[in-house]
Amino acid sequence: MIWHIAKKDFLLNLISARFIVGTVLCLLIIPFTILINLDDYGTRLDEYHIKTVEAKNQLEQTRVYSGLRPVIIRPPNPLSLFSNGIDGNVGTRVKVDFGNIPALPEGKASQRDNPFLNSFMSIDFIGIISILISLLALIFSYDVFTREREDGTMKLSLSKGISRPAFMSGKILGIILTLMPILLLCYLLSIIIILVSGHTSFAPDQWVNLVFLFVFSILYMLVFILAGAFISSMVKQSSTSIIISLLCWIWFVFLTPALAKNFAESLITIEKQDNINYSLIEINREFWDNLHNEVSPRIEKELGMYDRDRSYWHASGGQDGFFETSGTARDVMEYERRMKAETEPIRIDDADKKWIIVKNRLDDLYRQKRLQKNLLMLSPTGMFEMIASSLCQNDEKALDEFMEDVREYRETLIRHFETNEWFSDLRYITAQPEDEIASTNEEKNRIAATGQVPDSWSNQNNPVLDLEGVPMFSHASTRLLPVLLHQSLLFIILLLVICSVLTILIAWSFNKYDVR
Amino acid sequence: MLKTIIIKELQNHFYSLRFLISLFIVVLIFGIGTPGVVKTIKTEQDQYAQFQQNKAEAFKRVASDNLTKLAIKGTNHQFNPRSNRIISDCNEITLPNKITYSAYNVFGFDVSLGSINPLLKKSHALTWSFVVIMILSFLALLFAFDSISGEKENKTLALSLSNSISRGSLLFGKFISIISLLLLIEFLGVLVGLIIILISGGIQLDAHFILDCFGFLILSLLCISSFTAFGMLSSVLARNSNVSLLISLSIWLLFVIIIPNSAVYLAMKVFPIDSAYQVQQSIDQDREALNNAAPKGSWSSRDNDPFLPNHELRANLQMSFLQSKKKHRDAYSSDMMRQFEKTRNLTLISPVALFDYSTEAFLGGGYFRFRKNWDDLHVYQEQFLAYFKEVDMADEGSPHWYNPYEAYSTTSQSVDPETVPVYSEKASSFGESLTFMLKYVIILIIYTGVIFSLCFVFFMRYDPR
Repeated sequence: MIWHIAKKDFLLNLISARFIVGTVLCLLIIPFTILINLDDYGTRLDEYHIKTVEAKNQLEQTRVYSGLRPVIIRPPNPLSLFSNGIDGNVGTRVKVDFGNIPALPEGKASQRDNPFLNSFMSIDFIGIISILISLLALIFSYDVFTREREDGTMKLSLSKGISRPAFMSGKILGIILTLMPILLLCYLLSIIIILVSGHTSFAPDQWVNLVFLFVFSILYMLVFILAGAFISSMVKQSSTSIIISLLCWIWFVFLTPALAKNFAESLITIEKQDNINYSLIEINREFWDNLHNEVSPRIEKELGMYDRDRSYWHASGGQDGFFETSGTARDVMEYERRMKAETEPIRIDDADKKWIIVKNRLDDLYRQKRLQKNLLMLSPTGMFEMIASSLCQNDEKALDEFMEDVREYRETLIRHFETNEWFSDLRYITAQPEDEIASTNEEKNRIAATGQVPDSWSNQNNPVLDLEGVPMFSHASTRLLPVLLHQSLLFIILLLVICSVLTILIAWSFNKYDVR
Repeated sequence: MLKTIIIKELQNHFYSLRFLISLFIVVLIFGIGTPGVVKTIKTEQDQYAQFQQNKAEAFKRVASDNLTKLAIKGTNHQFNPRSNRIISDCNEITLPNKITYSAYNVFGFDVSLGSINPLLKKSHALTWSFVVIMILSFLALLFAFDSISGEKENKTLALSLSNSISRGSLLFGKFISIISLLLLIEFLGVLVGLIIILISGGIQLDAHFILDCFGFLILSLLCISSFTAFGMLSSVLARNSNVSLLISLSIWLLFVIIIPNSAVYLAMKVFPIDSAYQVQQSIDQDREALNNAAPKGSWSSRDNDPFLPNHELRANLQMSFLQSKKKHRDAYSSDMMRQFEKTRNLTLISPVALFDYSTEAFLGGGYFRFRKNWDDLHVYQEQFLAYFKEVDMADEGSPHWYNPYEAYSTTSQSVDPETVPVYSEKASSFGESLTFMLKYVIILIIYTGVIFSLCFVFFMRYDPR
């Protein structure tokens, strides 16, 4: 009997205006959203390739150990086509720097070249699904009981010996049957567009994640169907039911997530990054003061040289400790070598000092995120989006995992430098062959005066480093489906609980529904 | 007659469930949203004060060390958090809000995250304009969608029209009553917000702020009217209220969700500009060419010897680097702004966008504020450079070889930090805001007028049976 009612409702729904409008809306909006996201993904992928090649070239062209600071680019995740998560908020580039322990990837905060365009929001597939499907679910379910009552058909049906629970289940099943094809169509359409575009393909485990994403979308849809049905069973008229349903919709889909963010942001304060930077600069200044006022005079004294004696033919350097020189006299090079040998370990120690400050802020960021997540339990939409970004592996946990790996890699690299004593190696500051280095400043000046400067006096003419044996970065997500599901287990259980509570409530309230 | 209709409509709505729930939701959002935003603004203002202090200290330290180092130091100007941000944040969090400059150049702009958490998904802050954009626009449609078709279904429309009421005044009466109802809801919400601000004391409630609130109410009135007009249009287009509801919802989704979210994609397709990578490449190419053409020894240097002849070569080379980079970057900056402005124009089809942009200019925030600062900073940079050159010229110990990046060959004197010109943001005048927002306000008014006229035309032929 349930099946009969469901089938009747399904067929009736199929020819209704709302089904047509709903399907057309989905058919227009979903492909458009996917196209936008595909375009975005394509740009990110191109950028990833360009940056990776750049980083690789840069590494391969390194001539001195002090320039060996690999740049790591975080690859875009194909599943971000479905849920963008927080990938758009953080950069993709991490520089392995000995003076700093990286907290978050840097680079453009978004993939867009034009920072002005960031002021426009962009919505992903899951975002649009969570809006459309919830709306459709309510539009189909708000009059599930009231319409039959208004048309007088409910009296008729219930007088024919159909039990109320059966009637109720049949009606709800009918809505599910109507909406399932639309939902399925949305997913299939997007997957087809993605596959046809040829930008990317999914790995087997990603397919499994997608299937689960679909399953949770059904669960999400069910929550709203049941909510609409519950509202319908509580009121007498469809016109009342729709108003309440829609106001509930805007409350749960848009307002609760906004409130959750608002609360999280006001309850947990995040220090302004620029102020943190000033504290870090303070540590840097101590470093440079120590370098100029203590280390340098001491080494000068030991080497018996003065500041004015030091002149460089070709030198370039940076704040991160990079220094390369060529054509410079041997004693000046010795001075530089000893400077680096003494100061680089201090720089690494300073990084640990800075990390305490940076970590503090990072913890605050994660604390704020956790609070927001907890508050999102008040909204099915929030929960659904959290589950989706966890399944698509671009939530804050995936980012943390990546950054942990980067930090570990940095440690490995430093250990490699230490065991090979690269900090005190002459190669740390020059790539010029030792026999071509002028022994004194006078000799350097004499050669320079002849105008016959050897090629090796220019940095760029000297040989590059042999990178054999240098540890390289690799990152593979270790989080498999069970882990991902486990992470959002609370949300999943909560959604299920909401569904069952709503079902019970409907059964209870429909049981005493006045059919007249 | 019109008065009677309006009073009847208002009475009907006052007792309706939707009015009560709407009022509850709006007041609730104002009530629980405002304290959070006020606290956030307060925190950010404190942090900004701290930031300014740090910046001033660094400035003093460098100035009393060496003027050249001060001149070549890249400084960034960031916008202080406006206290009227509670009304609207004007997208200032996501728009470029940091401009980097030195005495030689205004380098560019960037989005400073400040205390924004990148781990939270980007969304609108819960300001008052968010309430208008998200809720009141929705409520306007919700109140208007069945204003005609609903009455037709209840058979009261035929009854009303059988009296000696013109169709025009019936339609207009309904229109006015819905708008005044929503304005009442919003006003009560704002009132709650103001009371909370008054109690918490986070923001100073001065005449200026009250004026801002007032202007905001007027602008939101325009936004609400346009959505009401759309709602009534969907009501006269359909024979029954179910269909008009679907039309209304589609309109809302289109204006509030689809258009704002697809603007970027359209912008990049319709108004493409070079990628940052391409620009960087041409800068690099030029740099390499300049570097190769530079005389040998251009990179030689010696500390404590400003008059080393190589320093002049070096200064010339660095200056030509700056010049070529500036040429590319400035062109790119104006490209980006042009692309952004065109994109905004694309979104003008949505009343929400029109409301957003006019509020932004009215409150003196957002892109309007950025543009003003951007132009002002260019003027300031010239002044700073002129000052620097003047001091440098007076210094006997300087060879006056201007190097925009390094402190080798210009004055190494210290200066009194008080005498150095400092940039400070000037408040925008009302005239400037008005010229910026006038376009949007006029479009919004015409827009509403056109939609309402359409509504009128359809209603004239509406079959009330």
